[in-house]
Amino acid sequence: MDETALIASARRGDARAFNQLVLLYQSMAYNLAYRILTDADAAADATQDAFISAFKAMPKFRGGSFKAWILRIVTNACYDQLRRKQRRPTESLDGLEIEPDHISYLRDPAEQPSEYAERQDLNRALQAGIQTLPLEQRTVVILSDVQGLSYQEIAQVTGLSLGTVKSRLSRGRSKLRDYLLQQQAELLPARYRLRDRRQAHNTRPVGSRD
Amino acid sequence: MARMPWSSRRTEHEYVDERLSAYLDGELAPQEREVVERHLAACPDCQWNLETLRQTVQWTRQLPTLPVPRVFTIPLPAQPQPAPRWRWSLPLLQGATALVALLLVFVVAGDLLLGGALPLPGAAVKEQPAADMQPMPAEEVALELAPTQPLEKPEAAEKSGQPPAAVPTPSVPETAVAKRTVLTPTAENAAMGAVGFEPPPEAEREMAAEAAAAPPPTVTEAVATPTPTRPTATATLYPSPAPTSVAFVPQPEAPPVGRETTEGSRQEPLPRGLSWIVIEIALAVSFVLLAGATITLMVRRHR
Repeated sequence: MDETALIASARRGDARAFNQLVLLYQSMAYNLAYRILTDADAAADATQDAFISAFKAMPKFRGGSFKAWILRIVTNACYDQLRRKQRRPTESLDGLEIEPDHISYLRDPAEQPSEYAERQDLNRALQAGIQTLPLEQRTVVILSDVQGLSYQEIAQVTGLSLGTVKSRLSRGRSKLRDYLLQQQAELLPARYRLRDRRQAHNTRPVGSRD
Repeated sequence: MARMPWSSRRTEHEYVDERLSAYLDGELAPQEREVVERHLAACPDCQWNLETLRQTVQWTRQLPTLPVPRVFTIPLPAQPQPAPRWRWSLPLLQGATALVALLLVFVVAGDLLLGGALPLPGAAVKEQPAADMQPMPAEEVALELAPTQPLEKPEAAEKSGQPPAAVPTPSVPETAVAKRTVLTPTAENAAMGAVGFEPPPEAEREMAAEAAAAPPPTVTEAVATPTPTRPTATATLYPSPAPTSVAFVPQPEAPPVGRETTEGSRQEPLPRGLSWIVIEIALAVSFVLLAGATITLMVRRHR
């Protein structure tokens, strides 16, 4: 069954067809949730809530980008999670969660173990930096740079205008860059450090080995 | 060259700074891109800005896609679609419940409002004439006799002693029939026949017997025996119509017909009230069962 047929069946209440759609979109949904929330358990809860809501709301889906529709529901589920967490201050909101080491994702076969470790450091720093962003900038940065959505798709998911999407993305990226600059001396190996501003007039390229 | 959208160099920095992110994504309009590129060529700070932004975005794009910790399919029993077999029977049940409820209301209301006078279907038609007649004869005869002379009373008493010869007919037609007694007996009978009856032999015998047993003829007495055997009495009694005779005359008319019908159809029916109660109970039980089934279905559907 192709996606259009699955969507049509799911709209009629066919749960089996809907679950086929879940299998197609759950990775994207979970990763969005994880990047927004930084907590794996919260992300799993938000993802499950999102798919249950989506099934109930299927009759309201009238065509267009199903991906944008699902991601919108996931985003809202994440915001709900955050609101719930705010009511329970004992749970840390800013805890830096280390990505599990057993995550097996495709990496450059030429990458050395030391390089892999360094990359892990970078990724942890990036996620920590994303976590410091205000929620509205965080969502747009993740949708654009982690999920690879276009400005138009981001506007569909968030319901924002193109101009607002552009400005929030610009500010979010700048803030993330500033965070890395701030932390890199302690967190990041030389290989993954941004060129310092004081070296602005230095023409040496960034990231090159010395 | 287009007019600059800013007023000073510092504002140009801000203008470019705001647009570097979009410039990275190729989302600038041609005019904007031109301005940015020209500025970049002459501004190391903005170059650094762009460079560090580009690197940050690149690293972010390389963040790994995490594998899902589990499958997020929804549990199948949670599907909101109701089982198809319930879809059609619910409106049917609701309709049946409403119908039975209405019937119950009407029957109970009718029973309460009309008291004991509500006829039962079938047996009621046959019972009614007898029922109507039974309480009537003595009363009506007595009433009819009231304005007449006292001598009529014993006759009235005798007459009331007769088998249920109800006198349901009103005084007007009786008077009319009495006037007809002026005519010859045969004509009289014919007139009575025209009214719709033929005095049966039994009624005539009774009338004859009464006439024989009656005290010395008075005006009313003579009138009371309008049989063919006493034509003279009938004639002399012309000017004084007697309610008794009038009452008596129509007797053969109604009672025999009614009596025959009544006697012929007299059954052993249930007491009137009890039959209705049975119907009401049956309707009430049906209503409770139907309502219960309807509510159960509706609850299950909305679960």
